Parts: sequence; structure tokens; C-alpha cells
Amino acid sequence: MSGRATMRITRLEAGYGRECVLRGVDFSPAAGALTVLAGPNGSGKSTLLKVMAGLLPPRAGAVDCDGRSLYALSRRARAQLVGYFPQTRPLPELTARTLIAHGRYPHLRFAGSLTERDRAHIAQAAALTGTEALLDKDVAALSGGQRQRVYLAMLLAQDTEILLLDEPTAFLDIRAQLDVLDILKSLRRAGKTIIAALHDLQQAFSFADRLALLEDGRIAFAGPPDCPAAAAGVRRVMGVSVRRGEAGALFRYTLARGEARATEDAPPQAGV
Amino acid sequence: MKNSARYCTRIFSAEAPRAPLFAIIPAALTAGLMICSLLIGAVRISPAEVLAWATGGALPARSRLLLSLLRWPRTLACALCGAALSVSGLLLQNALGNALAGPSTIGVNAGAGLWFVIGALLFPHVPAVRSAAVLPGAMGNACLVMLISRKAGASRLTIVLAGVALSAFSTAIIDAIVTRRPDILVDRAAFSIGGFAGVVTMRGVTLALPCFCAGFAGAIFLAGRLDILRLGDEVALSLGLPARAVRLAAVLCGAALAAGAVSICGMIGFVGLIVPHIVRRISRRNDADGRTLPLIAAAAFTGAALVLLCDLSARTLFAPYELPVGILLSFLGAPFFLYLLMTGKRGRVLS
Repeated sequence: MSGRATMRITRLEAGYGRECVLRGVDFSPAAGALTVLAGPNGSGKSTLLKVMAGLLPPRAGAVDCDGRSLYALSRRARAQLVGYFPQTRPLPELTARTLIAHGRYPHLRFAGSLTERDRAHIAQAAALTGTEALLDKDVAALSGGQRQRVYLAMLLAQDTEILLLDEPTAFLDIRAQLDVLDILKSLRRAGKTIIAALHDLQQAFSFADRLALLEDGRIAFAGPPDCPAAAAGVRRVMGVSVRRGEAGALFRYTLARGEARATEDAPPQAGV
Repeated sequence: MKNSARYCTRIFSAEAPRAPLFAIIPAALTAGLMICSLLIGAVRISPAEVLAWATGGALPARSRLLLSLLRWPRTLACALCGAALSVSGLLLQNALGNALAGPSTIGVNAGAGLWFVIGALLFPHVPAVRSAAVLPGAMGNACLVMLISRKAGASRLTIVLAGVALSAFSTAIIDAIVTRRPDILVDRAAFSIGGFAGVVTMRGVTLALPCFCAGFAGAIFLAGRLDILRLGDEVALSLGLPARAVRLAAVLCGAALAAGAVSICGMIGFVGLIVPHIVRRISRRNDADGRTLPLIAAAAFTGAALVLLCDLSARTLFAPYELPVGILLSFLGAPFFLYLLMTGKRGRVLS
């Protein structure tokens, strides 16, 4: 658990079939920080996360992790280094305990028995995500928020230095969204490098240490979210203006063309 | 609850998994039916004679011949074929994520049957050739179905439709060959429907053993990996599991098992489709995780027991005439499958 794993992406090109989604991405997420990937639909957020997770080999460019090429590592070594939380997942009929235990798969020996260390990781992951009470329940019977926390616990049980999350708050009510983001914050405090794709700029600005904006398969901005360049980047890429509200108030978005789109206290997420 | 919790965390345990009740009961049933299968037939053989035969004791020559040449090979063949087809169905269903998959529905049986017939046509005097030819036949059709469904979009329905088309194509060639050369099959009807009467020899069973051994060993090896595959390809890949390779390996193991069965008893349908559904339905009450390894054990014994029971009925119900066992299996299996469809939770059976 040394923490502070670094990842460096240079001139990355990737896509599906003939379609090229990422066209020359240069990106070095800050080690030990929570980086939010934002951008319009189709800008390549999920594709970038998949390449970083080792699921989609790049067509060109390099993905280096702690100085080694990610795709030169064995699948197992990769899975011990980088954890991935996809946006959609099937719902198998199994208990939360078993689902979380599956997170230990990359650490198991050939025979596959769980060691005391594995069990400790599973217990720790359940404690951190507040899922101890759900362990013996069927995953399919859980609420959306509970299910998300159980899947997060599986990701934590994997015990990787780098965590990649694709829309971890999608389809959740606001309480469940904040629960998930709180867990991410506590992981960041533990020294994990977290890269999460988020649609909600409100959350991106509130929780991120760094913001990376993707536009048409390229990084349009990468840096701290509270600098003026971030607001300018959002304005250019997303077409909305972002302005920090009064003390304690939420961010305020307006369409860049000047049409009012949100109020100070409750900005609607649609259209952002 | 505490007990079940410990059981659940031991998912990849190298220790022998605790045998669940839903595997023990079919195992006992299989053993009982195997004994009945040795005892019952056109000629009654007493338990004492069976015991003497098994222990190498003295028994009448007629009984010894009957047991050695007919009853034992047939009993063993029924148990092995039932187990192999059921495990094959389970592997195919889990690997393809498709509850309609089975060796008969995705064209594996027909592929094996086609190559069996081609082997018999080209080398009529070398049984080993036809027993070996079933393997590439079954695997070829399995790979073709996977390839077609990948090209056409791997929807659940596409796999089954591709299988139906391949089955029809393979069966058409079998029919064409057998119409031209009816002498290459002992019993054409029994081969197409599936049956054990007059076709089972110890040599045939022995020749199929490599397929069975490879298939069962592969199934046990892949069981834990198939559990991970249930989480979806992306999660499986991110956990370091080569999802596509595991899926292909499971389908090939399923094909090998079905191929072995086809080389012995022809193209029996339904067993591979319904037995996985039966064991899944029963196991849900005992194992909330639906883990693959106990399901494999349960499917093997349930399939063996079902085929033994049907074969026993097929040769006693209308004695001295025998029905091909495939007829009885369809007769029992089809209504039972419909019952499962109607009583399963909405979408559960077919999802």
C-alpha cells in the first residue's frame, strides 16, 4: 500500500472497429488525487477509462503505469494495479459477500483459496462502503444505491492503487450519489489515485482535485477545477458558464449564450 | 447464517467444496438406478449374481456374458452420456449467458452426428475414426455458432437461431448420406432420436472416454472462472480474467462432452437443455450464489439419473419392444420444460 501510483498517457489513439474515438490524448492524472473526467456525450470519457483499465488496447501512443507499459503487463499484474468500475453491469444472482470476494480474484493463487489477508481486505472494503449489513443479501434484491456501494466494495477489495470509475453516480438518487462521492473522498485520503468520469459538473467542481475536460477525443483542459482556465475550458467544451455561488451555495451554471439555466440552490442537471 | 457466510467466502477454495444436498440426492439416485439397470431387463439377473460379477465370484456363464457385454456397457453409457450432456448444457448456458443454449439447440449434437456419419462412411471398418471424428464436428459447429452470432450481433436469440440453422444443415447432410448408404448406421432412427439399444459396446464407451475426461476436467477447471464471467465481460477483464478465452474454452469443453455422448448414443436432445434448468431451480434454495462447481456436480448426477431412468423405462415399458430413449426423454422433457417456463419468475428462465 505505497500509494501514489502514477499513470502517464502519451499521444493515445483508440477506438472501436473503424471508428477512432481518442485522437492523440496526452494525460497524466495526478497521483494520489481525485481527477474528474468531464466532457460532452461521445467525447471519449468511457473509452479513455477502458484504455487506462487495460480493456481496450490502444492503436497508437503509450499508456504507462509507474514507468511500465500497462499493456506489457500480464492481465493479473494489470488487475493488481488498476481497478475499473464500468457504467453498466449485469445483475447476477449472488450474495453481496460473494460479489465483493470476487474482487480478490487477481490476488488469488492458482488453487484459488481465500487467505486471511483476502478476508481482511473484503471486511475492510465492506466497512469502508458501509455494506456490512448487506453481505448476506442477494445483490439483485438491493436498491440502486446499495448495489452501487457493493460494487464499489468489490473494487476496493481488489486493492489497486489506481481506481477508474465510469459514471459511478449515474441513476442514483442524490443521497446515494453523495454516499458514493464520500467513499471516493475517503479513498483519496488513503492515497489512492482516482479517475472518475462524471456528467454532473456540480459534483465535478465540488469533489475533484483535478479536472480533465475531453473534447472530440482530445484533452481540452487538465488542471485544478478552481482556476479561471477551468471555467473557460468548461465554457468552451460544454457550452456552459460556471460561477461559484455565495458562501455555501452551489455552483451556478448558465448556458454560454446567456440564457439562464439554473438557480443558485438547485441547479438542474439536465442540459449540463 | 454464520455457516452460510463461511461457505460463501470460500468461493475459490482449494478444499473440496461442501457437497450440497442437491448434488448428493441425484448421486444416490444415480447409484440406485445403475444397480436397477444391471438387474432389470428381458432376462432378470439377481442381486447376488451382480455382486458375484462385480467381485469376480462365480456366476452362470449366461449372466456373466449378459452383464459384461450388454448391461454394464449400457448402464455405464447411460450414466456417462446423461452426465456429459447435462454438464455440456450447463457450460454452454453459462458461457454464452443464454438459457436456451444446449448441445442440441446450438447445433453441437448435429455437428458431431454429421462427422460421425462421415467417419462411418469413409472408414466403415474402423470404429475409432467415427468416435474421433465427432470431436471436430461438435467443436466446428460450436465455433461457427459463436462466430456467426458475433458477426450478426451476439443477441441471445441470434445464437439459438444460428444453432437451429446449423442443426438443420448438418441433419440434412446426415439424411442425404444415410439415404444413399443406409448400411453405415446400425439403427438410423435411434441415431437421430438417440438411443442405447443394440449400439452400445464397451469399446465405444472406451473410445468416448477421452472426450468425457477432457470435458469434465475442463468444466471443473473453468467453474470458478465462469462465476467471474457472470459479472460481465468488462468486470471480468478488469479482474484479470481473459473473458473471451474462458468463454471459448467452456464452449469447447461443452462440445467435447456432447461429442462423446453422440458417439455412443446418437443425437439425444433435451437432456442438455432441461437438466441445467432443473438443477438451477433446486439449487437456488440451497446456494444463494448459484456457483458453477456445485451446479456441475448436480447437473452431472441429475442428468445421469434422468437418462438411466428413461433408458430403464424405455426397455421395460413395452417389453419385449424397446423405445429409443430419446423419445421418452422428449416425452417427459418437453412438458417439464414448459412447466418450468410457466412457473419460473417472469423472464427468469429465458433471461
